[in-house]
Amino acid sequence: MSVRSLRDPAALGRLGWSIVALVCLWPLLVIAQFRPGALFEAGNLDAMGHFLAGFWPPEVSGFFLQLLWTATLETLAMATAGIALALLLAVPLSLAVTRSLSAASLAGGRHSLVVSAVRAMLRLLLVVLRGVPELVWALVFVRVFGLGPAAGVLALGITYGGMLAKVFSEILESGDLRPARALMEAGSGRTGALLYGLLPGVSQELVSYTVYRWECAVRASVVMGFVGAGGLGQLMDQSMKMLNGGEAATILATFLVLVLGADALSAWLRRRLA
Amino acid sequence: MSFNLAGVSVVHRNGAVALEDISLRAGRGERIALIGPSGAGKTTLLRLLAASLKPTRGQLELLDTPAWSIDARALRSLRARIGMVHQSSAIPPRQRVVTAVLAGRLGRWPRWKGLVSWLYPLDPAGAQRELARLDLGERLFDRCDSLSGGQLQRVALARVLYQQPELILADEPVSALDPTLAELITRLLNEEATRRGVGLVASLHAVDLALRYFPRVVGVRAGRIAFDCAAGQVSEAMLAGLYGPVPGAAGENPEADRSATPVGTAVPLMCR
Repeated sequence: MSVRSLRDPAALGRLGWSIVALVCLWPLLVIAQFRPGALFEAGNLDAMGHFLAGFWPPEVSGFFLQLLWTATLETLAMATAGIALALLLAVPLSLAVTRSLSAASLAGGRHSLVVSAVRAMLRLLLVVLRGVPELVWALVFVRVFGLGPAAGVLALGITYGGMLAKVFSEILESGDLRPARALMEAGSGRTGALLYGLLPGVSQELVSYTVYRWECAVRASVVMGFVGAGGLGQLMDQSMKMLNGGEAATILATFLVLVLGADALSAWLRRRLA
Repeated sequence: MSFNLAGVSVVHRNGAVALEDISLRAGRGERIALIGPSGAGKTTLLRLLAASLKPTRGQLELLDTPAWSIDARALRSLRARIGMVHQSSAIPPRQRVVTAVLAGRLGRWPRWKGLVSWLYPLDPAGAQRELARLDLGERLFDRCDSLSGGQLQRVALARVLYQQPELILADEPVSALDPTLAELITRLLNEEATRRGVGLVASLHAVDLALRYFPRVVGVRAGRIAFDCAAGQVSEAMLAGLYGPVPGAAGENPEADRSATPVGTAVPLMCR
């Protein structure tokens, strides 16, 4: 039997959904007070120009560079320690919440109610961990550990642990499960099937997402510096408060270099694991 | 005894009957080819024999063990004694040959050994031995995605041999290979099974290979066993009946059925 009409039966639906999306978007733009025209009004351009002109020339005095170096190290350390803590949290959590890795899934059987309930609870925990912004965690922990990077590390660890666990489990679920299933069929346990069957196919994605999160952590640690968690952020906060645009410009430039570095590292790691 | 199926049926959750009242047994060291049209139930039958699918009805014994009335731990160690060669998809491309082969023994190793060997291969000599027998010894530390299709299938074979199973299963192990390679893999499978004195059950689309290399041939059609014969007893008529149109099935063109071989209705000559 052949189709009655050669018109694509999916086209109408696609058009409909596109219109729905646009209709939803419009009121949201209004609520967000998104008026790009304001950028180009004469007074506003002047104000911005003034503000930005204050950033020139960048500060390059030896004393400041010394400070900058210490702060950069502190930021890098905070981001790296934070990601390490996050990984510690994310690896077991992601394995626990990944449905496709359960013995039942791999064996093609049914899921027990208890296991499904535990998994749902853990997913809820992940939502709480990543739902509270790291800035809020940092504000809490600064009261415990005092000013300095320790609060930032803990805040990053918690929020990013939740994010990494969620994305890791999604990556694991989208991987090719056939090799892992084959190993389970040959008597292997879950751990073996994960390491030898699933991980080789998804390791590149896992690493590249982790490095991207590390890059985000570098940026986040700057924001947390504003609430006293040390590093480049705290330095930036001081410079801004003293209206020292040159210093702020140098800090921003350092920032760009860090992000570029993270990008290069990620690309290199992906090539290594390809 | 390799396995014994008595009155086994498999009904999928959606109600579709995959296998109906299968009775089949094989002694230790028997080599059997499963042939039949696509969708006949060959893969389902192999999954039963691999203890990875639970039958809906009937008795199933694998290596003298009632596979589904033992606890999970015993089931795992039973599975470790049965090796399955898949179509090439069972090996991750981004894995080294040595790791892929050593993974064969995960079911026998304690968990710590699997973990350590993942970091540093613990028995490269063992992997090398199996690979060398299949003429792949020099590729031990190469990555699987640098191999050709035929080489990859030999790695899959090496893994199963390294597993040291007492029953080897193969689900269309040669369907993605050219005729020469298909013959090579089929021959290697049979040679290794014979040398080790273990049972072998392989599903094949290439009837000529099945008849040439396997002493016993089982025809599967529409979820039932159509015939179960020594290779020499399989006749043209039996094959025509096996692959002919299924009677009563909704054909594309009912006129064509009449002109096709008339043996489609009855199961020809039962050998066993």
